[in-house]
Amino acid sequence: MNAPFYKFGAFGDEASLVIAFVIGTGFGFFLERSGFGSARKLTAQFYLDDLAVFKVMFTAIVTAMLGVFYLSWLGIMDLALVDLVTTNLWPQLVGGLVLGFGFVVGGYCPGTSLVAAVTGRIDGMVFVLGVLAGIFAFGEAFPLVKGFYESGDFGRLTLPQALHLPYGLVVFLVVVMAVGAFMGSGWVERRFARPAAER
Amino acid sequence: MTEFTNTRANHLVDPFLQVWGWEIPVYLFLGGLVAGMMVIAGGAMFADRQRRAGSVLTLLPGLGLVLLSLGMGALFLDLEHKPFVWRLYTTFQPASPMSWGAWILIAVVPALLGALLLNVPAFLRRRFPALTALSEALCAQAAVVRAIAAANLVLGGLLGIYTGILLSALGARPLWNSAALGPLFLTSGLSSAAALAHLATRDRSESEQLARADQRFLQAELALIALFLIGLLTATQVHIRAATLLLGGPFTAVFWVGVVGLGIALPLFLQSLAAGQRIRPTPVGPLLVLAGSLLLRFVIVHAGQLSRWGPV
Repeated sequence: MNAPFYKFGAFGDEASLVIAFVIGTGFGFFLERSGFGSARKLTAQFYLDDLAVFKVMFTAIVTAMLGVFYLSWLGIMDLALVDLVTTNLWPQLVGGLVLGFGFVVGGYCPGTSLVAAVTGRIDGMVFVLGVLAGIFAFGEAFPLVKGFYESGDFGRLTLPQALHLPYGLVVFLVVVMAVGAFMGSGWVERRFARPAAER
Repeated sequence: MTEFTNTRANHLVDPFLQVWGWEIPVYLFLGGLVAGMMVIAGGAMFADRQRRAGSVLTLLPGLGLVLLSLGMGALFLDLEHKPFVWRLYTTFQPASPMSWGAWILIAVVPALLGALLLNVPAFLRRRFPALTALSEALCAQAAVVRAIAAANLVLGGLLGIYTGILLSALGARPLWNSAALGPLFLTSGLSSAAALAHLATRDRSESEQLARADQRFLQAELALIALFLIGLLTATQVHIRAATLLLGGPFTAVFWVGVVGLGIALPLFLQSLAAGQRIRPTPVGPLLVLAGSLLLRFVIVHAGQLSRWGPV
């Protein structure tokens, strides 16, 4: 085992931040090149006539999942050392709804808003200011919501643990689901296609 | 046998040398910015470009005076014995960069005022109508215009490079012992001045020219940073240890992410995308250049104060 590199001491805290910046910038670049710096493109998934965001993000998730699975299977990566946020079911459900609401209303998620802002879109810049204001407000109000924030704690929970299924089988099922979703999304796009003038 | 180490036990043996706070980096940034503005304005005066109606370059001398005053204000705040500041101007010590700096800071003022008089802003013309006649009289004499342009170019260059030499001349701080520091601060000042003018201009062709100039300055800045680090890494063990402050040490992330990544590489990339019309022109690049330039001074000043010849 020699990965995760940081956990095995290949580099320190400072270098890890530099690596995070390089990876983050690369992520932002490909988001922008995929057209995800546009609020119209992003919100189109909620109208079901352009599911590019769904397809790209699901592809990324499946690719990462397969990469991690095979690296672990080959003995290169120790999955037990990969950081996982704990599952806090109720606050995460509420948080997901709040983020989705903000996504539909503002046209961006936090990452894509940064991409939009950096490429000169004023709505993206306003969205980033909103995100920062939200982070500040949440931080200040944290003592009030601390109880709820820590509720529904399931600890480090993964799908294989929750479903009581072997890890490899869960990976296979997610891949099958992804293939089905990609095929289905093509049908959905054709079904809900809008004339260009309405977009 | 028990062995005691009884040297350096008294904390007063090692004086506290991390005495520079925010004032010096802010002064170095504003000084470099004004230097860059003077060089760009001087170059434009030679090319007679600043006389184009609505050119943002006409605003640089006036803005330079304001920013220089703010920078000198920050420097003044840092002085330990403020009432004695006038003594700097009772002598000139050719071997002292600080003495050079004190006199350069005085000498740039008439150069900036001269440049301002060549293009008096409209609000000043309205308030002081006599300035219009004076400006026209000055502009009519080509030799005067060339002299003012040359003064801005030379004094701007001196001001920009002195901000780096001020640090590199302090032998007690190994991180600053680099001949690349002067050119690096000058280039950084030029890029931040080009970025500021780029932000302010409303003229499309001028904006493209300034963006191209800024790209060249940023490329030069990257090369100088590489030379700065190579110079340290190929010097004594003390200098190598000083360089590790930026290469794995406590300033690694802020230097490589803040200064190099966000302050130079990303604006270069954004401006090249904008030049290729792959994204719309954005103020984000120039803003990042300005922030990166300020951060460069903070990192170099603070990391330099941590570097030392003696045991760590």
